[in-house]
Amino acid sequence: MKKYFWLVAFLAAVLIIPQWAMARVQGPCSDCHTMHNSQNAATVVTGGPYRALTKGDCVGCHTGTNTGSNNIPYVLDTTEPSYGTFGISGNTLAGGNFYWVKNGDDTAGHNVATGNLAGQDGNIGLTPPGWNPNFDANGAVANGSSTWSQQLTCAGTYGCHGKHDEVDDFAAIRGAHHGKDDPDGNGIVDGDGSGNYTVATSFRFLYGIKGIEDSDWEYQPTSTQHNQYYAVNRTSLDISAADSHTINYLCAECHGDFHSGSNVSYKYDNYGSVGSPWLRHPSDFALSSASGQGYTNYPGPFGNAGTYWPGAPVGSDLSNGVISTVQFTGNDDIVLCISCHRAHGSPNADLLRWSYSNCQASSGNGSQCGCFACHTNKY
Amino acid sequence: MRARKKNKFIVLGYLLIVFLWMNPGAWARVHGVCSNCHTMHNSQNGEALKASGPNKYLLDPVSSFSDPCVACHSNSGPETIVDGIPIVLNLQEPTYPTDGSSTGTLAGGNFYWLLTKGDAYGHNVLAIDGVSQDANLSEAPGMPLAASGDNCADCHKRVAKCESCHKPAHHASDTGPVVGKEGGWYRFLNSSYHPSDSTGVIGIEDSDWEQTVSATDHNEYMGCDNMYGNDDNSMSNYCAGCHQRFHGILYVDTNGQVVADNHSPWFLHPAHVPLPDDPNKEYYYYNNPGGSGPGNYNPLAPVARDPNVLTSMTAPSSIVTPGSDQVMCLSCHRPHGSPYPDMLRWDYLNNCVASQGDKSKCGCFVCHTTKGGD
Repeated sequence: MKKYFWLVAFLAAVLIIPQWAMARVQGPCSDCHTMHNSQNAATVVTGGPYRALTKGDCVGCHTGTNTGSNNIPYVLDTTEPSYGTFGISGNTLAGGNFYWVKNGDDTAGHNVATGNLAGQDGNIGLTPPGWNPNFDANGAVANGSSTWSQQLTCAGTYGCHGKHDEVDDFAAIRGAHHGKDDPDGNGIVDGDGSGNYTVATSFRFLYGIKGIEDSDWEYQPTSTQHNQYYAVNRTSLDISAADSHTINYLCAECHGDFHSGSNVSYKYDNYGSVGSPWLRHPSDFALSSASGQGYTNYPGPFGNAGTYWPGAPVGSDLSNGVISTVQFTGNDDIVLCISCHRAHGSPNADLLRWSYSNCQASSGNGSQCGCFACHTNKY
Repeated sequence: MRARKKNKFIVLGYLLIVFLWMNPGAWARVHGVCSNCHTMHNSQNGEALKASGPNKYLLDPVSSFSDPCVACHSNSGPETIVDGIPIVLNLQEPTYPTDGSSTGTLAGGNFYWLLTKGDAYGHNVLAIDGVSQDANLSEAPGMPLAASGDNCADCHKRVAKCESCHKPAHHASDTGPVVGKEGGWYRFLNSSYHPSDSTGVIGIEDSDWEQTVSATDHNEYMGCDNMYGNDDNSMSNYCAGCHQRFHGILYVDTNGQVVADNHSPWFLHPAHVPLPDDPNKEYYYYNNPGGSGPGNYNPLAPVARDPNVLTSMTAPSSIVTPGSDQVMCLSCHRPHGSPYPDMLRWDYLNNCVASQGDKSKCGCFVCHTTKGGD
């Protein structure tokens, strides 16, 4: 009897500790909902009530300061978040934070219109740089138009999250927060295991994308506690991509020309094999593809060779779960768009994970520049 | 006493740190922010930086020139070092010879005069937009006969690209002071198409490419260890890759006969030959006409160092040693270009007048010390 007591206690502890919990939303209902938008005879949220009796729209609910124990991941703070040099030591999450773009720096984040988060990008306009409507395997963003006529939103036709065939943010992610995100129980958010995806069974509600979700959204991540991004080492140079479930494909849905296999390297065009000199930054290619150039010394100045560094993450085929050691097999060392960028925003231009101005070649000090995690012989 | 010695080392260490801090370009390995040269996506503010597509190595086009080497190493203004990048093609005239200012022409010269004055004023690098085949030359003068095939032509017969002479290795670790294979060779001078350990050039690279230059502040060039134009990591024998028959002690006459020569009267200007260690000859008084011995190194007409000397040097030297230091191709020429015909370092037509004029303006008289007059 005593043996069962300890077993039950252990299981209870496992379920309570947030970092081991699943990404399906958890916590008190009142964190997100108000039944009548009324409390003590006062309105709970100005402008409400919102659909699904929520306390706000996407931005409204996801505004706050991350503490490491909050149940809602906050992507916008009302005061400047602590970011640190690489965004892994402060209170921002994996996707970064919209604080800086909301406060006037168009280069520091995606200009999301939802919730009046930001106005139109003054430098770029409405159409994303590198826009190529052919990356539509998970649904046509912007209805596949040649240029955009609307500003980016959190979700929907012009958004990153949810389904693209729904214009409205709410409608695009309907049912996702309370859906079971890993119905086949394999520890990976990858649809139902048979290739059928819903928004709920997509990595971070990014429809059709798979991955392993860190339970605290990478609040101060380490080499052992982090998201594991799905990526496929590109071996053929098809123009679209080898696999539409990768995190890189998600980015390519809006920035396809930065990602295309077409003309990715000069060597391919001239000698029939892919490789240096590159014409595009080789996201979707494994670091080990360029062995001998220092890339298998990743993460360079940030740890022992092979140690996963969340400051400049690499993707994998997910076969080994969350990896703490990169083996450079070609399947666990793949360059990502988000190896360099924070999808929501950062304090840095081009929503980079670090300040590019810190990247000084041959300075002898690489500790301020994430480029040197891969380009280990350049500092 | 022990404390004083310790203090001396502290002061020395401090001076070294200050020196290194003040000389961020003390090594030729590229320094500076990545964005000086690279663009990750050929995109800025929603526009392509280069409409025809991205450059190799993700190089930032920087200018409108189509060739990425030229695009990075050119400048619409007269400044010759921009963001730490040495400029070899200015669209406004740089200062020649350098006066040490920001517009001073660098050691290799400048293609400005090729574009503005004509074919005789620089190497016709066909990768530079607007440059075409030299109207005066159908092939590299003195071209090695063995390198006349189509596969060899782009380097040995004509200069199709910058890579005809240079094999870029911007991030090679050339901690020097002598830069060789580990550093990607002196000024990246090695064949891009068949690089070998014997063709690459060895030397000491001046930190500002001789924008400021003096007897103690300059490049150091590797001299030859053979007089036959064979590959030996020397500066002159690298030039011989295209101009072999201008170079060497075996002169091939117009009948195709090989004539051995290593003495006066010379058939070829004696590049690769040491200044004679003979006080009875004018060359002994290099840069010191009428003096009692050789003068200081004169960057107007530089000498190359004997290979056994250069490889153990730790810094540029002002001392010139007859019997050891050699005449080289670059004693007289600027490989990129100059304001003077034949890309000479000085005005051979107007300033080199025997026994007349200001001999300081004619580099010939740096060696030919008795020809310039008193």
